[in-house]
Formats: sequence, C-alpha cells, structure tokens
Amino acid sequence: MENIDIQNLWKQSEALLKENRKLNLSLLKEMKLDKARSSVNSLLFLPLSTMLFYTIIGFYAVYFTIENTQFWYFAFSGTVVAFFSFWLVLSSIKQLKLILSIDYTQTVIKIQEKLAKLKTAIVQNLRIAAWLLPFGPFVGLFFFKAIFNIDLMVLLGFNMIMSFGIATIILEVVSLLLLRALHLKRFNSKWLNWLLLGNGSQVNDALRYLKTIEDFKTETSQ
Amino acid sequence: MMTANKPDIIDFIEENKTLIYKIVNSYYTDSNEQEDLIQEIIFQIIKSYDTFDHKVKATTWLYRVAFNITISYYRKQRTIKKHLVEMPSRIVVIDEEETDEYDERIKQLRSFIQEYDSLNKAIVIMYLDGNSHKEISEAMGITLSNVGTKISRIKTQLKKKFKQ
Repeated sequence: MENIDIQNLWKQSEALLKENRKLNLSLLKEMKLDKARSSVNSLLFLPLSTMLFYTIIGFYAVYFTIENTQFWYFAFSGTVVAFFSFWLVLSSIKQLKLILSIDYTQTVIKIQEKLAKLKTAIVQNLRIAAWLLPFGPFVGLFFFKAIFNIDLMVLLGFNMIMSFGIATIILEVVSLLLLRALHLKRFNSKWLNWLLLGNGSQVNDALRYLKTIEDFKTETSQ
Repeated sequence: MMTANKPDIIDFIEENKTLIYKIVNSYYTDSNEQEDLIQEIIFQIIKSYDTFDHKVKATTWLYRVAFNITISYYRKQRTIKKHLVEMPSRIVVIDEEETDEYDERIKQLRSFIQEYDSLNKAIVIMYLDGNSHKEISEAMGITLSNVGTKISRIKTQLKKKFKQ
C-alpha cells in the first residue's frame, strides 16, 4: 500500500472525529480560569518542605559547631550535619527550579525529560543519605548532644568507641553498595524498590523512561 | 490568572480542534478519558497563549502543548489521576455511537498507531498530518536527521503492517 493511501485514511479518520466531537464554544467563552489549579503546584510540597526543614537543621548545626569547637568530635559532627543539610537544601532548590521551569510549550523531549527527572528526585535524596551513612555515629553524637544534652563520648568506654569505628567502616561499605545501586544510569531496580519500601516502581518507571528518551534523542540511523 | 474570553484564543482552538482530537484519540480509546484530556489541553492552551512568541508556527506550538499534556497524562494515568484541572464538564462531548461506521482500514490504522510508544506515536501523528521534518523537529526537540530516520522507519513499518 502506498503512503498516500495511509495519509488519506488518516484524513478520513480525521473527518469522522470531527463529526463525532462537539466543542462547546459558548461554555468555553464564558469560562473563567481564575480558580483552576495548576497541575505543577502539587509537586512543590516535597522540595519546599525539605528545603525548609534542612535549612533550620543546617543553621542549627552551624551554631552547634561554633558552640562546641573545644570538643573535636562535636565540632566534626556539627560540620557533617551542616554540610549534608545544606547539600539537601541545594538539591531541593534544584528540584524547585526544575518544577518552576516546566512550560508545556517547550519541545516534547525537553518537558518529558524534566518530568521524568522530577520523579527521580527521591533517588537524589537517597544518594545524599547514602553518602551520609558512614558518618552515622557522628550524627548520633550530634543528636544526643543537641536533643538530650548528653555527651556520648564521656559515657562510652574504650570498647564502645572501637565498636563505633568498626560500625563506621561497615557503614562505609554499605554506603558504597547503596551508591552503586542508586546510580541513575545503572540503577538496581530490586534494591531501589527495597529502599523505597516497595514504592520504587514509579521511580524505576521514570528511570526507564529517561533511558527511552535518551535512546529516542540519539537515534540517527536504523 | 487570565480569563478565557479572548476571541482570538477561542478562534485558535476552534480552528485547530481536530488536531487536538486526533492526538487524544491516538493515545486514548475511552471517551471519558478523551474528554478529560481535551479539557486539560484546552486549559493549557488558554493559559500559555499570551506567552506564545511566534518563533515557531502556531500549529507546531499547539502540537507541543497537546503532546506534552497527552504524554504526561498518559504516563500519569498508570499511577493516579490527581492533577486534573477544575473546569466545567461538557466542554467537549464525544458521541460514542461512531464505531460501526468506521472503515475497517481506518480501524486498522488506529490500531497500528496504538502499537507505538508514546514518543514515536507523536512522530507518526505529525507525519500523517503532513508536517515537514523541520516542523516535527521543532515540536519534538530532536535533530532533523533523527526525524528523517524515524519517519523512514515508520513508513516502512506501516506499509508492512498493511500488507500483512
């Protein structure tokens, strides 16, 4: 069958669609869109709340570090918490920027990429958490001091401090494994699903879609 | 936010409504979903029309909006339908008693189009609508050579499917 026939069929199909669909123009003319919700606004909650929460934690950690400079472990703990908090704030700002730049009049590929990347935002946060993992014992020190005003280093004996060191090394290994599993280009779907408590399918779907978009963009020969 | 009583937007939608119908119909078979989606596309057209800078043809711009909404909606449907804009119902009415009138070959063509993934389906629709490679490239955001490759493959595939 020649191409022209296919295009003619398409035109016939178009005529039938036109016959069977009625656009209510008078209703459209009277309509006011003032109360219409933006589909993008609902996406703002997560990055905005993350940004707000970690800004507070970050600034408190800076204050904590300055207040406890005489104890190296508190100064280090505070610095670690401040560093990771501001990293999460930066990550949230990037997400917000992406959400606010969604404009459906841009090219199809650009918008589809942006929307898929937004769905993988949680993976970015998990990657940051994975980097934080080896510093877990220091985060513990920070929170015991900040919340209960307890200096764990005074309470802990030599054996406990050794366990502290061993835990750090183990967490380092776990962190590296997690970072491998959470790599956006060679992610492990089973791990991802487990890390997201069984809710990883949407993220997996978005990551696969990003790969489809990449292939779609780069294909230049059959 | 603007009101939708500008005659030029309404005229623009009226002139190009078939383009919207074709796109929606190629992604969805359920008439209720089609109505919802057409409504969402019209909402976005009205919302974005003031910022249209005419750097591309008006229809290319319309293809972008319609495909972006349709493909996003299409993917969202698999999870949860929660971002629908609040608009009066019955902006568009679809007569469902149409199916029997359809030529068997038209049905075949529609089913072949349904087999493509969401991105390639957009290329098929623009190609069948008679758009140039440049227009397809501008709407999709891919290179001209990539458009050429894809169209050539689509033509071959469609021919082959009709011969089978």
